[in-house]
Amino acid sequence: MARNEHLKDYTPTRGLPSGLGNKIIFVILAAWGAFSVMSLLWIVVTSLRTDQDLFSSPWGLPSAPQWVNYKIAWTIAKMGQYTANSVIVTLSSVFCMVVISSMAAYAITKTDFFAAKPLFFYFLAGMAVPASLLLVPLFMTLKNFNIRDLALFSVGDYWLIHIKDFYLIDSRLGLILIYTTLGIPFTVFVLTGFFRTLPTALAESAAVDGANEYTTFYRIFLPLSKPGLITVAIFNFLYTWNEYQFALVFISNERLKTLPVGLYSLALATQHSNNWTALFAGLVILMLPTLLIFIILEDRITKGLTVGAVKA
Amino acid sequence: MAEVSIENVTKIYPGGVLAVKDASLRVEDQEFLVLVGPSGCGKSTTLRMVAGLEEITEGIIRIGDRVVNDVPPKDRDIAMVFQNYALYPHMTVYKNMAFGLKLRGYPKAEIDTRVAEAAKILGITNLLDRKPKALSGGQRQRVAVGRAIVRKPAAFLFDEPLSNLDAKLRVEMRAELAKLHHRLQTTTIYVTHDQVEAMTLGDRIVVMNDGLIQQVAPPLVLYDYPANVFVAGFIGTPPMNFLKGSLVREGQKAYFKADGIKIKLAPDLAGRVEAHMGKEVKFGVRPENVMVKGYTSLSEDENVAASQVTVVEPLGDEQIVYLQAGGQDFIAKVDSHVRLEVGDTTQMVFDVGRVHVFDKDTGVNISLREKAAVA
Ligand SMILES: Nc1ncnc2c1ncn2[C@@H]1O[C@H](COP(=O)(O)OP(=O)(O)OP(=O)(O)O)[C@@H](O)[C@H]1O
Ligand SMILES: [Mg+2]
Repeated sequence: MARNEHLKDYTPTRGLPSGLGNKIIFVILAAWGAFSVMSLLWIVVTSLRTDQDLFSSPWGLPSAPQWVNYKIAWTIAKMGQYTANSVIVTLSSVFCMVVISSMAAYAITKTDFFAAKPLFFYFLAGMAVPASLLLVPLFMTLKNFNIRDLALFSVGDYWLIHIKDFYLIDSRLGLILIYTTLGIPFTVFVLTGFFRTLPTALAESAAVDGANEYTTFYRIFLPLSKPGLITVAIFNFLYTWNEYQFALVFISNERLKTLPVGLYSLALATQHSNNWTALFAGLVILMLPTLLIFIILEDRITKGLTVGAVKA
Repeated sequence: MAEVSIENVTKIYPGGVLAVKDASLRVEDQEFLVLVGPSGCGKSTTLRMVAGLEEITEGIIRIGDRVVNDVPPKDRDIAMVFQNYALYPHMTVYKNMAFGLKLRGYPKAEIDTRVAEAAKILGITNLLDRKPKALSGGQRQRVAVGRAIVRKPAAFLFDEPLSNLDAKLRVEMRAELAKLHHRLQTTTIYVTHDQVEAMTLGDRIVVMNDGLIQQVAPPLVLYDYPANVFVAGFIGTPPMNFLKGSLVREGQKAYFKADGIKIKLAPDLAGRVEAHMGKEVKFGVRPENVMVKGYTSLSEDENVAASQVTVVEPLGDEQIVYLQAGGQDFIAKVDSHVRLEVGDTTQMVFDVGRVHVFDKDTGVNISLREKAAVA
């Protein structure tokens, strides 16, 4: 842990920094920040107005808050269903990514696994593949992977395993598998960097104390890598929650859509029904978890940017 | 409690580094054995092979009656104290010490008793709720030792446990470890590169160099009867002097002879090196066995060399004197009341009863009596 000690002392600078270059950068960043905050505020404010108000004065304030917009978005426009899907898909994906990647990172850095190095480069190579390049091959692969009716191991008249109508296209499980796969390279990369900062002597000490490989991982390294795990979980959450492309291609069933895709259908729908402000309400619903995470975990995220950068 | 035996063990690291060559050792039950040697000589490697943290390339290691070559560390019933302690940073001192017991399924009450007992022995009872981060170096060291002793293992393995402490604390902990061993009587293998630690703690000392065991012997035997030039030079501060020259026989008498130096050998020594008469050798004498003529009763005519003083280092009770005779440098450790000035020429007396003669090529001590030879 000693090598991470300096991270604890990290405090963001406040106020105008010294040096002309820094001042210019500061001003640019401040302007950018102000612009982003303005846009966000505008979305929130507009989500509480009526369509007529919006078109008569786009920058105005709500006369009376129109909470009904949220009700419309949540129920009529099915944002409730989309949110549920997003929560299921995102949480499952992030959980799987972190579990699988932390184990892989542990094996790569702290065991004498013979293929540790090739494995690490294999994951690294995964980061170099543009995700959009995978759309078509992945689609073909998943489309062909389906089980109409599979029964295995009979006991008398009963099948111990009986799978029916199992598909990976138009399925939340399919999406979870894709996100998990896409997230693993980055997660492994960050976590190996993190594990490398933890002394290997801890693993040896645990081994002598009577721990097997699994106990060492679970009781020693997993608790110690909590800062790293939280960091990758946050980053992966933000990515997965907002992911649009794969969700659009792999899900067409209305009931299975995630928020970003659902929002798009909402946008299409509102073009005809003249309910723009409900769309804004939908946007707020989409942004809310992300915003909350940034506000609550701001500290963790800024620190997290340097996790893994600390090399042993 | 158990004995540990290492039989013809060789370790070659992946990449081809030959770290330990054909080492054989037997650590008796309840013995405190110290492995000492310069950096990179293979001490840690040997210890880690006993612990099961490194694979054995060749040979056999036994703990008790059991061959442990393929036994994982957790099943070897040993406890190890690491150089940097390797305490679990997220656990309190209590949990650090209890971890091994918990994994072995001891009941809570038994764990509590053992931890409390060990904490009392080591004087860390008031630290049990702290995390390692909140401990001083010396306290961490005690916790690391505590974690080892609660387990009551067959053997303790220490890898330079004191090297991260400051000089004063090191001396203190050294004494405590000695006391602890006296109390627990557990078989111990202790690695250090500090020869004072080795001399004060070890029942026997193993001197290693370059992956090879040089000599295994009790501390004073090692000091008085070094098996070769390496051991002779490694054990003792300041180190033993080595003078180059040759053995010659003149009538009944035998001499060590070099430029400006001619020392008569004691008759029994002369007999033992008879086979090397006329050959070049290294003549070894410890600094405390080189004295100033006039301040010792040992001086005769033929054990004296005229020498020039080049440096004098007063240490208080004694002084280290750097000398030169016939172009060869050597050191004497003499009483501080002897008045010597740089540039003086003095007659230096060699205590011929305590000199060693080494083969110039092999470095083997050819002046040893048979029975004192390598244990
Ligand atoms: N994992 C490793 N891979 C390859 N070579 C190694 C490895 N560990 C040690 N060595 C080499 O093996 C030799 C013996 O190392 P070892 O650590 O046993 O020395 P040591 O006597 O403990 O030294 P020190 O006093 O510095 O700790 C050295 O030459 C070292 O470079
Ligand atoms: Mg070492």
